[in-house]
Amino acid sequence: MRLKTNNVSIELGGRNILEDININVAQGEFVGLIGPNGSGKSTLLKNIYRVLKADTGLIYLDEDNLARQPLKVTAKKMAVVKQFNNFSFDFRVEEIVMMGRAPHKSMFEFENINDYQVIYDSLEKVNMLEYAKRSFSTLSGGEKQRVLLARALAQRTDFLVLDEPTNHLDIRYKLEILDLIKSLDMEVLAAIHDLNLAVSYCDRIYVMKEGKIVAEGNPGQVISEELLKEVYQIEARVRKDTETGQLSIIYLPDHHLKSNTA
Amino acid sequence: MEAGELITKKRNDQIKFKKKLIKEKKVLFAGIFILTVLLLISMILSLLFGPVDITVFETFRVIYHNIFKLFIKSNISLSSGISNDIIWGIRFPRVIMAAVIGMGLSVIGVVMQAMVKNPLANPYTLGVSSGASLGATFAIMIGVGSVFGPHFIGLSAFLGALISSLVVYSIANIGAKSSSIKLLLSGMAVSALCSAFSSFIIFIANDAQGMRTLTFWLMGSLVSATWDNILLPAVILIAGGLYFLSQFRNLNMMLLGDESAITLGSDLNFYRKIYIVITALMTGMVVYVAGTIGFVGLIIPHIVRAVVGTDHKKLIVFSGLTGAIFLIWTDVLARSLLQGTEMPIGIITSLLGAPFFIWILIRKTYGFGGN
Repeated sequence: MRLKTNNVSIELGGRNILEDININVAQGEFVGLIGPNGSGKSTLLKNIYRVLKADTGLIYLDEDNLARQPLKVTAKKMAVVKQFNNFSFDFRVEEIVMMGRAPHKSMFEFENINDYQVIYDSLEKVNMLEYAKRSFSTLSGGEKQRVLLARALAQRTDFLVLDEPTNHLDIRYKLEILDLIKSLDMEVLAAIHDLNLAVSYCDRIYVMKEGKIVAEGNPGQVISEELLKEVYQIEARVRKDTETGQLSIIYLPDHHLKSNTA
Repeated sequence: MEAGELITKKRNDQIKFKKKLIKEKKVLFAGIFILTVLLLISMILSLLFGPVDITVFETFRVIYHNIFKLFIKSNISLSSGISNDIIWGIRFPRVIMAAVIGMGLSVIGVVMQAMVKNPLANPYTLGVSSGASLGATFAIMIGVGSVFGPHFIGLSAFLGALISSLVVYSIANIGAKSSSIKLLLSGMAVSALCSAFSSFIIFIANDAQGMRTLTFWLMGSLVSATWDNILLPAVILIAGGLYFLSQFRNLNMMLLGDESAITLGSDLNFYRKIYIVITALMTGMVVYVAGTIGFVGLIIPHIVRAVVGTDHKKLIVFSGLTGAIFLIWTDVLARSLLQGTEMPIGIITSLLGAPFFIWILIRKTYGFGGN
C-alpha cells in the first residue's frame, strides 16, 4: 500500500469536517475522490499533503507516518498539483519549475547541471520545453497548469496528489492534462469535480458526503443513479457506451423531468 | 546503427545543453563582476566630492597610503593633516556607510516585498519607521536613554523599530496563521498608533529646539558616520544580506504561497518569524546610524527586478550592489547640491523615489497583492 489514512477526523466549530476517513492507494493505482462541494474532499487532501493537521488519525505514505516526517522528506516522495492561483510577481517558466527542486537542495546549495536536466526533462514531458524562457503570466490557463505539473514532476516523486487542478480549464486541456498524468506511471490520488472525467480516468473511486466516505470501488460498481441521487441530489442516467464500454453520466435537468411526467 | 546514431545525437544534445547553461552562468557572473567594479569605482570617485576641494592626486595618495600603509613620496600630510582628516577620517567611513546602508535597505526591501507578496512594500512597511520615530521622539523630547551615551537617539530609535515590528508580527499571528495581508494591515495599524504617540509627545513637550533635531533626524542623514560607529551596522547588514541570499528558495516560494511551499517542503510560517526578526534588526541598524531614508528599498528592487527577473538568487545580489551604488551617489548629491550646507539624504531619495513610485502605480504591470 502506497498511501493509507487511518481514521482521520477533523472537527471545526462543533461540526465534523472529516469523520473517520480510511482510504488507501495501492501500487499503480489512479484513485479518485468525488463528492459535492463541502463534502470534505479538499480538506482530506490538505491533510494528506500536510497543509492541515487532523485532530485524530494517522496518514501513512510508504508505511511512514507523515506527521513525524520533515516536510522536505515528504516533498521528495509526494508532489501536489493544485488549482492555479495568480502570483503578483512574474517568474519565468523555468524558474517556477526549478522550485520543484527545492526539496532536494540545502540552504547554500545552488542549482547544478543535473537540476537543469531534470527541469528540462519535466518541461519536455508536459510539452512546454520551448516555453522555458517565457514569462509565466503570458501563458494560457492550460499552459500554466502544465507548467505546475512540470514543477511537480521536477520533484521526482512517484506519488502525485491532484487537488482539482483541471477545474477551470477547457475540456480539451482537462483531457490533455489527465491523459498526461495517466501516462506517467505514478500513483495518483485526485479530487475530480467532473464525474464523467472521474469515471474515465480512475481505477478506483471514493465518494464523499458530509465528511464521510459513503461508497468505494471501481467506477462501474460505484457510480449508479441511486448514488448520484443520494449524494448529489440530482437525477441522472448512467449509461455504458456500447462501442467503447465507457461509462457516461447524463444529467437530467428539472424542466426535462417535468415535461416527462406531465 | 540507428541506436548508435541516437546515442551520438543524445550526446550532442547534452553538450549543447551544457554549453548553453555555462553561457548563461557566464553572463550572470559578468553582470555581478561589472556591478562590483562599478561599486568600487563609485566608492573612490565619491571621495572627491565635498565642501572642501581636495585634488584627485591628493585623494588617491591618502587612500593608497591608508589602505596599504605605504608612503608614497614620504609626506607628513599623509598620515595627519587636513587632507587625511577629511578624506580618511570623514569621507571614507561615510562612503562605506552609504554603500552598506544602500545594500541593506535594498535587500530588506526585496525580502519585505516577498514576505507581504506585494511589490509596493518597503523596509518601513511593517511599522518599522514609525516605531523608530517614536523611539527617537522619546529620546529627543523626553531624554529617555540618555544614559546610553552620545548615540542614545539612534539606540532608542533602534529599539522602537525592533519592538514595533515584533508587535506587528505578533498581532498578525493572533488567531489564525499570519498571512501577507494581515501583516500589511497590522503594520498600518501599529504605524498609526506610533505616530499618534509621537505627535502627543511632541505636542506635550512643546520644545522647538528638540523639534528641529527630530525633524532633521527623521529626514535621514549619513553625517554621523565615523570609523567608530560603522562597524556594527556594517557587520549586521552584510551578514543579514548574506543570510537572505542563502534563503533565495524560500523567498521565491513565498510568492507562490504558503500551501504550495509546504508541498515543496518548506514551512514558510516558521521562516517568516526568523525573517521578521532579522529584517527588524537590520532596519533598526539603519535607523540607528542614519535615521529614516525612504524609497531606496522600494525603487531599487523594482528596477533590478525589471532587469534580472523575480528569481531571488539574482534579485538579492543585484539589488544589494545596485542599492549600494545608488546610495553612494545620492549621498554625494546630498553633500554637494547646496552650497555651504548639507541636505538630508532622505529628501533626495524621496524626491527621486516618489515620482518613480507613482510611475509604477500608473504603469501597473504588476499585480497589487491578492489579485
